[in-house]
Amino acid sequence: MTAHSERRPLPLVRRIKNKRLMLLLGIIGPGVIAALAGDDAGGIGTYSTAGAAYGYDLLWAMVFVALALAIVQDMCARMGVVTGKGLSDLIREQFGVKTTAVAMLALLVSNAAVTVSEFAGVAAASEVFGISRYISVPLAAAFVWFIVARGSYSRAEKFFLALSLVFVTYFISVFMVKPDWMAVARGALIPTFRADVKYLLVVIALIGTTISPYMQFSLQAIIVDKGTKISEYSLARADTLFGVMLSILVAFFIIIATGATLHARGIFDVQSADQAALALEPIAGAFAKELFALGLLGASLLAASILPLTSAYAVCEAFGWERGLQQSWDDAPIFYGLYTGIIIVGALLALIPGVPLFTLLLLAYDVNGLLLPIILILMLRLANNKRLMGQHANGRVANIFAYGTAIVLIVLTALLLVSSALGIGA
Amino acid sequence: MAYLSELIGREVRDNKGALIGTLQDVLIVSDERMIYPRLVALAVRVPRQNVPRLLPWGGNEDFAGVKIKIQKPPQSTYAPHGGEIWLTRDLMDKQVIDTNDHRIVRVNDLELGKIGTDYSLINVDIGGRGLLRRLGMEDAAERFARSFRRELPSREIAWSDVSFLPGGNIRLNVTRKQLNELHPADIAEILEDVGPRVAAELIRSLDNEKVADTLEELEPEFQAEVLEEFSDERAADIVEEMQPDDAADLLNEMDEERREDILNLMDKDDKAEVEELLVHAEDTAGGLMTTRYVTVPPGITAAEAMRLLRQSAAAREAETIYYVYVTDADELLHGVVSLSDLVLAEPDTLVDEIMHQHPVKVDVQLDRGDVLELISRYDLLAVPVVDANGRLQGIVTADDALEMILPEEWKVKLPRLF
Repeated sequence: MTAHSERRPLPLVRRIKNKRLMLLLGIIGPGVIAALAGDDAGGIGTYSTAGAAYGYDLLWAMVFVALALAIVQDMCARMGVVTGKGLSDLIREQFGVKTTAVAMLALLVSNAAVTVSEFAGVAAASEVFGISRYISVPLAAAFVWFIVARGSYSRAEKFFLALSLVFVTYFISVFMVKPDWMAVARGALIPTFRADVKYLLVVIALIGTTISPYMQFSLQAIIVDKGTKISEYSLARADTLFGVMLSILVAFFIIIATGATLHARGIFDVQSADQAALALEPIAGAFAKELFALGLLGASLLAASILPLTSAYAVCEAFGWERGLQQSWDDAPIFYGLYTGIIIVGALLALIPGVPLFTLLLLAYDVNGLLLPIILILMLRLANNKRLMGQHANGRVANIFAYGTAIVLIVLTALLLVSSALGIGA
Repeated sequence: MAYLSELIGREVRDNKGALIGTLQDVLIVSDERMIYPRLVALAVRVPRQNVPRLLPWGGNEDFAGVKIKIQKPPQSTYAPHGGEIWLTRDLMDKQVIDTNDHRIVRVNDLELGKIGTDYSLINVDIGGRGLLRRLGMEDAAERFARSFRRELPSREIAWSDVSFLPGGNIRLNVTRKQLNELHPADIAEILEDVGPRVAAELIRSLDNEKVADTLEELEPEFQAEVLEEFSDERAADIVEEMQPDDAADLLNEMDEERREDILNLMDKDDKAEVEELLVHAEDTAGGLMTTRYVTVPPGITAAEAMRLLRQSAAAREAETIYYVYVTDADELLHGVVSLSDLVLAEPDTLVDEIMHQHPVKVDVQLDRGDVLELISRYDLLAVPVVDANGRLQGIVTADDALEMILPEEWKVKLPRLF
C-alpha cells in the first residue's frame, strides 16, 4: 500500500469551480428569481392595462412601488440572514398559534387566488395559438405538478425563466417606437392624481401585483436554505436590490411600450392577449401575438410552479408538519396535499366558463390586498424586534419608509375593498 | 396533569387569598440527575408593572381549579440564577429535536405533571390536538370527531426524548450528550431537516470522528455547506477522519481556494491519499474508488499472509478486508484471494495457489454505470481498479456503488424549498 506517485492534471470537464462564478450563481439568484416571479401573468396584464389606459401617467406609481418592494424584500433577506429562520417560522415563534393560523389562512387563500390568475395567463396564451383553455390549463397543471414533485424543478425553472426572457423584447420595442422621452420622464417624476375610480383601481393593482407575499416567503426561505451568513449579507442585499430593479424595469418598459403603441393609437382598454401583444408589433411585426403568448406562458408557469410550493412549505413550517420535496408522500401528506390542492383549485377556478380573465385577475388582487397588510405588519414587528435581530434591527429611516409603505398600502387596500364592495369600477 | 396553554393567563393568589396577578410564564430547572425538569417558579404579570414578578413554587400547590394559589407568604420572591427555562418564552412554538424519531418537530403545547410532590415538565405536545387546544377548539373538534366515532389524533413525545436546537436562549449540555449517543446515520437524518448553519452548530461540539461519520451520510453538496461554517483547521481535522473517497467527493464540492486551504492543513499521508482520488472524474471508477484496501505480495503462504494482515495498519483502516489483493513491488495486480479462502486453506499453502488469477477488474476511466453493472453481474463485494498498465489503484466497494444509484434515482438533490 505505497502511495502512488502518478499525478494527472484535473480534467476540464469537472463542474464549475471558479469562485466568483459560484458566488454569482449561489448567493446572487434568490432575489432575482423571487422578484422576476413578480412579473407574472397578473403583472403583465396590469402593466399593459396601465400603459394603454393612461399612457405614461402612472409611471410615478411604479417608482413608489419599486421603493416599497426594495425595502420589503431587503427586510426579508436581512431577517433570513440574521435569524437563519424562515418567515413563517419567525411568525409562529414570536406570535403564537392564533396569529399564525390567521396569517397562514390568509396566505393560503391569497396564493390560491394568484395561482388562479397564473392559470388564466396560461389560458390566454394558449388561445392565441388556437388551443382551447380546457386542454391547455389541465395540461399545464399536470406539467407543473409533475415537474416540481418529481424533482426536475431546477431545470424547469431555467426553462421558464428563458421563456419569460421574451419580455426583453419590450426594451427593443420601446427603442424602436422612439417614445417622447420627455413625456416619459414627466410621467415618472411628477405624480398625477385623478378622481377616477379606475385610476385608483389600477394603482392598487400595480402595487398588489408587484408586491405579493409569496415573494417574501420564498426569498427568505431560499436565503435560509443557502445558509447565507452575515458576512455575505452585502452580496445578498445586492442581489435582492438587483432583482427588484430588474423586475421594476421590466414593468416600466411594458408600460412605456403599451403607452407608445396602444394608448397612442387610441386603444385604452386591454381586453385580450391579442391586444396586449400590439405593444410588441414594432419589433415582431406579424408575429407579435405569438411572441407575447410565449412570454406570457413562461411567466405564468414560472409563478405557477413557485406559488403552490411556497404556500405548502410556509404553512407546514409554521405548524411543524413534515415538509419538503425530499420527503415521501406518506411522510408529508399535508405538504403534498396542500401543494396538489392549490394547483387543482387554481386550475379549476381558471376554467369556470364565462368568467372573463380580467375579473379573475382583479379578484386575485382583492384577496392579495387583504393579506398584504397583515403580513407586512407582522414582518415589520419582527424586523424591529431587538431580541431577535440585535444590531440588525430596522433603523429609523428604514422604519419610516416601511411603515409609510404599510400605511399607504392599508389605505389603498381599504379603498379597493370599499370600491369593489360597492361594485364600482370593474 | 396540566397543559401550559391552559395555565397561562390564570389568576394567581397568595396564601391569604389576595390577588397577585395573572400567570405569564412557568420556570423550570433541568437537572442532570432528573429525567424530568422540576417547576421552580411562576412568572406573574402584575398590573401596571413591566417586569413579571417571580414567585417560588412551594411544592404543595396544585394546578387543579381555575385559580393558582401560592402557599408562600406574599412577600417572598424567587431569585433566578440564569439556568432556568422559561417555558413560554424559550420552548412554546419553538422547534426542537425529537431524538427518538430523529426529526425536527414544533412544540404546540407542554404538559406538566405531578411526580411525587413536585410538578415537572413531562411531555411535549407536537400534534394537532395541541394546535386545536391553543386555538380554543379542542372540545369542539373532539365532539366533531366523536360524532364520526373517531378519536382525535394526539402526538406527544416524552421530555427525555427532546433535544434543543442551537441558537435559542438555552445553553444546556443535554443537546450534546443526547446527540452523541445517536448513530451517525440518525444524526444525519436530523441535519437534513435543518439548514447548513444550524446543522453545523448542532454537530460542532461532537468529536471529529463522529462529525466525519455523520457527514459521510449526507450529500456532498450539503457536507460542503456545513463545513463552510467551520474554520479551515477544524475542517481539515474532520476531513482527515473521513474515508478518502468521501473526502474527495466533499472537497470536489468546494471552491478551489478553500479546497487547497484545507488540503494544506491536512496530515501528509491523508492529504496524499485524498489528492490521488481528486484527479479522477466523479463519474468514473476512479472517482468512485477508495484507496483503503489490503494487499499481500505473491509467493508467501496463507499463514504468512494472515500474519501480515494482523500486523498491518492498512488492514485496520481498510473499507473491506474480505478481498486481499496480491500485488508485486510494481503494484501489478496478480490476483485476488478472499479472506475465507485464506482462513480455510492449510497454513503452508502458497497464496498463488488459492488466488483467482484473472479477477474481474475495471479501468480507472470506466464509466460508473459500467462499474455498477460488473459488480452486480458477478455479485462482488468490491472490484479492483487498475490503470492502463494493470497496476492496482484502488477498489470500488458494493456499498459505495449502491449509494451512487439509490439516492439519485428518485431523491434528486434539491434544496429544501425547491
